[in-house]
Amino acid sequence: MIRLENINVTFGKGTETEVCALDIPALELFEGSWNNVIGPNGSGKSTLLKVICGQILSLEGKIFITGKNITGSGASKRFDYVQMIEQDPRNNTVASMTIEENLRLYAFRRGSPALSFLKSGSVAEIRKLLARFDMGLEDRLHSQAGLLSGGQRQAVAVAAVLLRNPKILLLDEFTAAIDPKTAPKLLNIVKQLAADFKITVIMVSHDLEQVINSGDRIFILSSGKVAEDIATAAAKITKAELVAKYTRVLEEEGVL
Amino acid sequence: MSINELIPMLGSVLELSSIYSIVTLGLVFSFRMVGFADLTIESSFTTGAAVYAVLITQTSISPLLALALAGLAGSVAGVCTALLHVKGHISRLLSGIIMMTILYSVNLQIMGKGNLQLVNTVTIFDAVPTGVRPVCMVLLALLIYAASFLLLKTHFGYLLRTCGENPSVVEKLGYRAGGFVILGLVISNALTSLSGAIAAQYYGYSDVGMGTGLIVAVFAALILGESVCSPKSIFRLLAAAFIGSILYRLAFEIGLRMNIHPWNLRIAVGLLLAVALVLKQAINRKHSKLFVGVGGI
Repeated sequence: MIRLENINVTFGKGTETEVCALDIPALELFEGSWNNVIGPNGSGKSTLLKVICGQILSLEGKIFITGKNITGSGASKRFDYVQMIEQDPRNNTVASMTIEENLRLYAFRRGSPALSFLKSGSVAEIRKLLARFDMGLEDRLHSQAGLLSGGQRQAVAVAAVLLRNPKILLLDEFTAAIDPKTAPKLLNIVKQLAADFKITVIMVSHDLEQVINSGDRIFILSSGKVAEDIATAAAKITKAELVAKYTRVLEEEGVL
Repeated sequence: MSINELIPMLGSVLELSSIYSIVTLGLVFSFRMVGFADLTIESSFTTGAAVYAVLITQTSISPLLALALAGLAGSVAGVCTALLHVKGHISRLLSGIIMMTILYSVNLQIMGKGNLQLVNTVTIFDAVPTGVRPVCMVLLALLIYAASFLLLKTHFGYLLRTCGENPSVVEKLGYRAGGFVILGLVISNALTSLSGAIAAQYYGYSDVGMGTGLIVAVFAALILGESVCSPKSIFRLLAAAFIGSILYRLAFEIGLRMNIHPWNLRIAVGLLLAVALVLKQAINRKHSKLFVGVGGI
């Protein structure tokens, strides 16, 4: 599904502040898989997401998505099949627009007639999708997104993104700004939805608890490199094991 | 003041405020939608007047076509300002200042002199009696407002709005925010130039200085309108722009009648803007609904 070959991202090349942000010789993520990425600050987690969604284009190496080389295509093209939910709920939706308007905005594809009215078409699909989040959002279609709680607003963002039928979903600590009760609930729903829609997910998280209980693979990044690649789909890993591995990586890097 | 004076006064207030309300509408597109406080309008207003005046005095084209061409000239100015910012990475404020300055000379070149009289030329209102003109002008302005309302209700309109409020969402939708900045300024400056051309028709002349101080005036009108009609929806935002334009012109007229010395007019306008801003902030705090458009004024 996603294949990275000899990816190298170096910031400030040839200057005193040169830093290698990402160095991945080979990496393949399978279709419909849920991939977790953990690692200390500056380990290249965000860089990895930006490389995949096309926000960083100055790099060495090649990126393939479903066998197609997309290395040169920019973010505006890739956002047709790659979507990202950012940590700050304010970045994913438009505050003054209602839930319905936000969803319809995301449902619009480039190339469709731009002068068609936004609010045409039925709301049944929108309501059905929102109902899956079990937050009562389907009855609040006319509430402005900016007046929702952080968790609700991220749920709206996820629903909006799904309306674009992405092949790849990038989650950048998307529950970090949500209260500890809502966060696991939202994560579970997103997991179900991703499975239903057959979306390949890469989730960056700092919450080991979240990572251990979800998904097929855990990557531990360190100084831009994949330090550990743990398959969790078949053989479960215990929290103690993960903590031990993570601690070793942190120690090697000198964080601990 | 007797009723015989009041009605013509209200008529001229309505007519003038309708003309200038088109500039306020332009400000909604540039400032509230794409978040660009565009100073170009000070000069593109005059560009509209200049292009119209030259076309109507030196060729025999219809006034309607001349208005359209004047609007087109303004949209070119809008593209230039937007490109300075989007491609040249010059700040929004400075891009506007640069184009405003350049256009001043361009306007003189277009007219060939500082002032062009339009005596005995055809206008779009020739067919209607003088007394009905204000009504026609109000209807024309409302027609343009209605078209803008419909435009803002389309996908394009929502994308334009998203570009100002949350550019990162525009990118997630596969667009570049810069493109919408250009389109926003095109619409804004086209409307401004159109208004300038109609103003030239109304005053009977085009003058190189006729746009000076316009930015403060339209800002005052917009904010004044928003403080009486909170812009909780696109409809209310446009209503605020129109109502504000009338209120501003009314306040201006009252100021004139109160024998404010012409030297002090700018003090009055400045104070009016300040009062409107304070008023809007106060009302803002009381609302539970978020306002449409780029806020933070």
